[in-house]
Amino acid sequence: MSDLSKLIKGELIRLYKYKILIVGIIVSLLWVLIIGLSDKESIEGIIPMLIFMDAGMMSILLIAASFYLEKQEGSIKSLLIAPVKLLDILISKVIAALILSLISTTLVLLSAILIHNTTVNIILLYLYVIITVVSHISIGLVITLYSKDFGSMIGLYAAFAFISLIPSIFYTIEIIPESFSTVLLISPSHAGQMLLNSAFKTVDVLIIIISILYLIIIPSLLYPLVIYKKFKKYAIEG
Amino acid sequence: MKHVFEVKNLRFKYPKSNEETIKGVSFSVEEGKIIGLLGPSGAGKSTTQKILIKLINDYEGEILYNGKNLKSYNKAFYEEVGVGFEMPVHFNKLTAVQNLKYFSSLYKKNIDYIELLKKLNLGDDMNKEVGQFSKGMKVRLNFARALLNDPKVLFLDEPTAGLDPTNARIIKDLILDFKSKGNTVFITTHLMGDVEQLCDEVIFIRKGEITEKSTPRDLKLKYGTKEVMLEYQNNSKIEKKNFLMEGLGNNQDFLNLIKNVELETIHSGETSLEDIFIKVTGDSKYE
Repeated sequence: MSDLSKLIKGELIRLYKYKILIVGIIVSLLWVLIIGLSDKESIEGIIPMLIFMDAGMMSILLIAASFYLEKQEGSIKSLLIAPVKLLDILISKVIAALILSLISTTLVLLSAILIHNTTVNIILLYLYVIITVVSHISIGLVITLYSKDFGSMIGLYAAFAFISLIPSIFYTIEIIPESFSTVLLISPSHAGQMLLNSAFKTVDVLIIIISILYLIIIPSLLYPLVIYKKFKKYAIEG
Repeated sequence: MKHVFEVKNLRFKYPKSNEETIKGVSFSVEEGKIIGLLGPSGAGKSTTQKILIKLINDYEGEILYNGKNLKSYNKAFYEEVGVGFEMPVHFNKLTAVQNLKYFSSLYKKNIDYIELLKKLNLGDDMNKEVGQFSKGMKVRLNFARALLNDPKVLFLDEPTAGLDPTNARIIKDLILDFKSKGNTVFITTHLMGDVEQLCDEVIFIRKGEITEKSTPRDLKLKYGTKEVMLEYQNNSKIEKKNFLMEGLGNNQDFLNLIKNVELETIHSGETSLEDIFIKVTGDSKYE
């Protein structure tokens, strides 16, 4: 078994033991309940939003809380003095969070198909979930790395959620006209949600391309330039 | 004589600090020895240790590990090195065995950690979640974590802090056993008793600079007074008298005293490492 496989296995065991996996599944079941109670007409708009809540906002919260906890316990130090690459440690965290998100997406998707016979491009949906999760986890890690304590982490998360989600919500309830859709893509959350929307219904190709590029550029810059450089220093502080 | 570590003019400054934490420190660590790095809080001991275990890489100066630049080593370095942190480093929701099983899976070489847990008096608790462990139990588990990969070099930060004398003795015996196999140990501690019992050489560090470096014995001779103190009974009273060691065999006062009085105690005037610590790390309040 490679180092990366061992680290991923360790991360999944941790997610299970710390009940993060269970909480994730419970939240997904809550989404399933919402889907079950919704009518067929409104479900097309609700499902991408619910999937985004898991792939985007929950991923940020999960990675931030999980890494913070690991630092508090000191277990991250134990990993840093093991013969594994820092890059593998980071990748294992991203993959574990991705697995959690894919489980949730599958539960939501299955319930939508079984209850409402929803049509969806499954391959594109999973691809867009992966892009959304990886980009939002990079944002979650940056939030953690720049937080002095748990309070400031929650504060930064709330600020990000507010700034990022407001445009999406205003757009969804049509306060912001559709002509502003491209400008709103500045919000990673809006870009993620537009991508997930496009797996269920027709979305402008230009918006899809911009969203994909934007959500790929964010982690491509954050992982090497911020996270990789700051991760070790943050982990051994204190 | 082979040096495991050779540190030459080591300098390091934390980005937000105005002053260097390590100011041109040089020393070497001989293979098969136990080296104590001693000094008051904030002296730079932990930073030095973090640099030696490659947790901090942006330092100035040169560090050779087995003759090769430390910076040239990759993750394989950690196959040979064991680190025992002072603070807890385990997953609280996992048992001691689950923690060690996971971490041992990351190394090529492993020891029988169940046997080690039993030696450390953790046999009965090894299937308990680490979160339920007392501070002393966590310290012992940290020690087990450090030995997990059967290392050649061991870094220990306060390895007996918070332990009762019996468990502290067990840890010290295991350290000496580790050394007897030709391995090297690097200890940072405030407990001078541990230093006296374990260290072959000590390095005192203060404000990022080495203030003294020698064997505990030589330090005691250097900082102690070369005299003998006698306590004896005189008319039902205990009296004390000091004599210089030089020419002691011809000192008639001394010879008369030991012939004619009932001696209670005889002490040589060597100073304790605690006194030396205070003297060389410069806390003038106690000098």
